[in-house]
Amino acid sequence: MTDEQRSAMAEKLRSMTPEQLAALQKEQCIFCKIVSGQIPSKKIYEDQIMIAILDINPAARGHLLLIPKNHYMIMPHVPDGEMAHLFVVAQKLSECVLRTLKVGGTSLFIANGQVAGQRAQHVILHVIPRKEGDKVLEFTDTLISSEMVSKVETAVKPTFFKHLGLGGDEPKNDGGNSEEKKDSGSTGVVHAALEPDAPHPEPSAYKEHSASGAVRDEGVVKKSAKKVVASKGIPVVSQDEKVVPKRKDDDVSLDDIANLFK
Amino acid sequence: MKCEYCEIVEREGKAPILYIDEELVVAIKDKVMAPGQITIFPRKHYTILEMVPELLIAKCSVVANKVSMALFESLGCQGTNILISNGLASGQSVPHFGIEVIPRIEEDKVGLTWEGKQLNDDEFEMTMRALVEDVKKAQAEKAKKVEKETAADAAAANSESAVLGKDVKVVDDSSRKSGEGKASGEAVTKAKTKSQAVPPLVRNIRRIP
Ligand SMILES: [Zn+2]
Ligand SMILES: [Zn+2]
Repeated sequence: MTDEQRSAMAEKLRSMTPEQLAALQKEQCIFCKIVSGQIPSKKIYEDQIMIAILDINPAARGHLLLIPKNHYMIMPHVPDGEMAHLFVVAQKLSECVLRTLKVGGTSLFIANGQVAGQRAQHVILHVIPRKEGDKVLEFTDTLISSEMVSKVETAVKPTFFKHLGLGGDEPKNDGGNSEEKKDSGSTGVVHAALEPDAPHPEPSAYKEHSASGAVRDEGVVKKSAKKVVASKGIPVVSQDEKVVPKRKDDDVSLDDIANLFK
Repeated sequence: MKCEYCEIVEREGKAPILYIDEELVVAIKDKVMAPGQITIFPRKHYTILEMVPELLIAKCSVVANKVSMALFESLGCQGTNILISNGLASGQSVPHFGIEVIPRIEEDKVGLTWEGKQLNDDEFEMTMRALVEDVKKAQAEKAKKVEKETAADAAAANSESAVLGKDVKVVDDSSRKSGEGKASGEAVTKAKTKSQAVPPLVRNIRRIP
């Protein structure tokens, strides 16, 4: 796309209503086309809420993509019930992966936002078969100071409680008109939280979405990133525990996988 | 060796607990991929994902999404990752199932990527066939189990006090579908109405006393 085309496109997008925009996104979404069957896929599971297919460019053989049938661009848009459903199905599929592919573990992974590695405009839950030393989803744990930990606590707690539906008051969760709460409870909370600044946020829209939280003002996230570098050399936790007994490939059971920890 | 997560629950001050109830814990560890990372784990000790009861998985995942939203708003991060490392081979370092929510910013060096592989058609076909078969088996097992549970529920509902008194098992509708048609009897209907009135998943959320 040339710059001109791009700005013309941007102009066009600006003039659209949120509904039109959402429809356009859905129309263009590869994963919605996979769900509808317009694009062929290697489907291994389907129900009313989601499908699971093999990733065509997998991290490992048997890499599964769990895709909600509804078009949700980012994770906060996914209603509670569907989120829960995805993970419960993922648990079952993970077990199938362990059993069928005889791997030593699985990773369940969601990339939410571009900086987090989200490539598709549609929420996806990955189930990835794992083998020792496979160079998939590598990470390093770093020790952070107790001050940092409590800063995080102070900053995150109020918003987290808000999203849980727990205000300053004792939660009124028991009895009463729970029928109504069911409606507002599942999707309502999520959308209410997003609506003020971002009726139809894209992953990048979250940049502007940052609330006025104390931590944000101090730039703790950025600062601390430096701190981590400064205090590098703290051992990676997972590497301390590389006392993995060698097993034959074909006698993996769930108990074996769990027992490796003992 | 004591389990790190069980210790968080048992020993006050081991790690700040953002939230705890009878079923799950939301805590801030000091060994993290990025500051702001939050961990959600069942209060009870389950080593790997496959051992965790469905409803608990459901609740953990819903809470993870809410943690993620809170990170966006309170830390101003630009993305989040949800990660379950399941089994030593996946890098699971604590022998207690948990979900990590990791705040992400541009160029944060967190990693968590992979290199996509090219598989040939045969490999795809084989993998797909094996998985589809196993999934079908799992579905059949599940349907049988649900049928049994539904029957048990009906029996319990008939004995009246037991089920209606306390929390009816809140069942994810979708995972129940297969058994639903088979349930019969007025008592079951009653029990079901009750269970539908309870908000799913977040029913037991209470603050630390
Ligand atoms: Zn889509
Ligand atoms: Zn434990």
